[in-house]
Amino acid sequence: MNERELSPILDEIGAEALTGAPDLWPAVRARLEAARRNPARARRPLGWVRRWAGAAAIVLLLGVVTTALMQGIIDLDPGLRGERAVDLVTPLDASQTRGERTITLNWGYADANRLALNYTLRDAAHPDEPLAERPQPPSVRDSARQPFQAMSLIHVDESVPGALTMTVFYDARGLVGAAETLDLEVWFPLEGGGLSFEVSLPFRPARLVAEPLTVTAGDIGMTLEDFRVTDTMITFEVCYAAPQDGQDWWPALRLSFDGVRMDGAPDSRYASFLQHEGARTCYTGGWFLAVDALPDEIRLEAAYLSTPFHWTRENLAYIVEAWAALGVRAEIVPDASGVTLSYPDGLPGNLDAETYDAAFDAAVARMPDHGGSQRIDGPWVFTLRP
Amino acid sequence: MTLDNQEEMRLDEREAIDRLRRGQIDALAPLVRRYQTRALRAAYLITWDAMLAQDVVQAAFVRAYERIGQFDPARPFGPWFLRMVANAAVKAARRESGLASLDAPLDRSPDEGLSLAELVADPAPGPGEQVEQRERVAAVRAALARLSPEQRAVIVLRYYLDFSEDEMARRLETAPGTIKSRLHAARRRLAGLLGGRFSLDDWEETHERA
Repeated sequence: MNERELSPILDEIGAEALTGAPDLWPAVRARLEAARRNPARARRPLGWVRRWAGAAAIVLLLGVVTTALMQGIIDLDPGLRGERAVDLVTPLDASQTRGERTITLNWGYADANRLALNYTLRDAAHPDEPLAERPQPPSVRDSARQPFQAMSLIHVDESVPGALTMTVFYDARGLVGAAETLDLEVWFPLEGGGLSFEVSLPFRPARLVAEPLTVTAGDIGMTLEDFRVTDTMITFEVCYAAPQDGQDWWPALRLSFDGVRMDGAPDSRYASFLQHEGARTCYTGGWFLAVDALPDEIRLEAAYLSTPFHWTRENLAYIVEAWAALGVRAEIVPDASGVTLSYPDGLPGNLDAETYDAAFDAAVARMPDHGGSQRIDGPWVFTLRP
Repeated sequence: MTLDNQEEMRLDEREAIDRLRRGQIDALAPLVRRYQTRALRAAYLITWDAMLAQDVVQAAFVRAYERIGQFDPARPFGPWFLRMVANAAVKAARRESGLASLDAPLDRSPDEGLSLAELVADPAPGPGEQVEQRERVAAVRAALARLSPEQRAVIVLRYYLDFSEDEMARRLETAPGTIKSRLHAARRRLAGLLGGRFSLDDWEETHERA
């Protein structure tokens, strides 16, 4: 074998492993928007995967696993957690084998915000070893062959040798008005082909889909274009006429139910992104929350619009100081192309969003010229009474 | 590809980079679509984890946007970006190793030869060349899986992304002698893992002389 032969072989190995790889641009754009708005959160690589995997491992060590169904839904996001999740999900228990690989679909869940699929991959060739590689998540289509986009978070449990259990989430916001049962085709890409499952899941409709609502602060109007509440998640889209100065203007949003702030836990916030639609800027995002009943009043408030601060060593020093005051150790470290923040001890799971936002805002305020960040104060307040 | 096409691509790239430097996020889209496949495959070959590779490449594009002011527009974007991907992939693989047990197979003897059964996942009969090529792919895949992320990275940079040793040293800010040593060790390890089924002698000799 020589060099000329190795290059196409490497290309083939890469291509096989990444069959059906999606266009990365939408995900890159979403991350870029998130990074510009909130670098500390956006820069945690695979934060969800790592935190959840760690949590699952801890629970297994404690011997809390009770049933096969519980595996994989032990400690997901607040909307699909613990016993509550057991009541919500549908056991599927369907297995297929191709070569040495067996895939078992354990359970599924569908509401008007998201789908969730939990499955286990086993490798008969190496029953006592961790799987050497993680396959791509399955692609999912409905009976009209419309594909669902995977959300950028996945729960991974590798605590059982020879098995990899994953929970993958898909954006289901296009499904308002869907039938009571959702028929899905789930296709797993595997080496040399794939495995296809047909499953039916009960569809839990939205508890609330708000009508568009516009409010004005100063001379900027903001419209709540979409707001929907399901049993496990709340999603929204707000659009506004930000200054046309070539910068991205992000809203600082707060959500409360009957006066109690709901966007509290760090693991409740779903990645958000900004899009430009002509002269309008539209901001989409959401929170993972357990909603068992609607409150009398839902309040979504954009306290202000701001542009991201400049990502420099000098500005990051203010963020490091702010984190230190909260007991979080952060370091400014060089990386391949500049500087970034590193968290040697990780981020605490109990740091609530209000504390974080206040510390972050105060740090930016202390930066000379607000670190290059500009701000337009609101507030824009949307009050919904279901 | 003709020179005209190459020049056209370079002009498109320059325009995209100019727009990026003016803060236009959407100018990143054509660069993502141009480089994502190669970047994903390179990241996968280093991390050995398809999901992690996607995460690495997405993050690298974000970093590229944020650091575009440090990029010399007179130079091609690809090597600058792909070096960033390779660095990030090694870091990510090391960071995730506790979860993914990426290095677990290295508990085997470092230069252990693999049996044909291990090397060839699906030895279905077929035309001779096709079978041989499949065997080679399977063998290299199995061998790469047993290298460390750092060793895979030098193999990928040199033989997949086609960086010269000098270029690798410059872009990785590492002494040329260190790169040469790492590459040599990675090649030796790979050859050992291939167990003589496919000889790397010609390949090694060529590069030892270089």
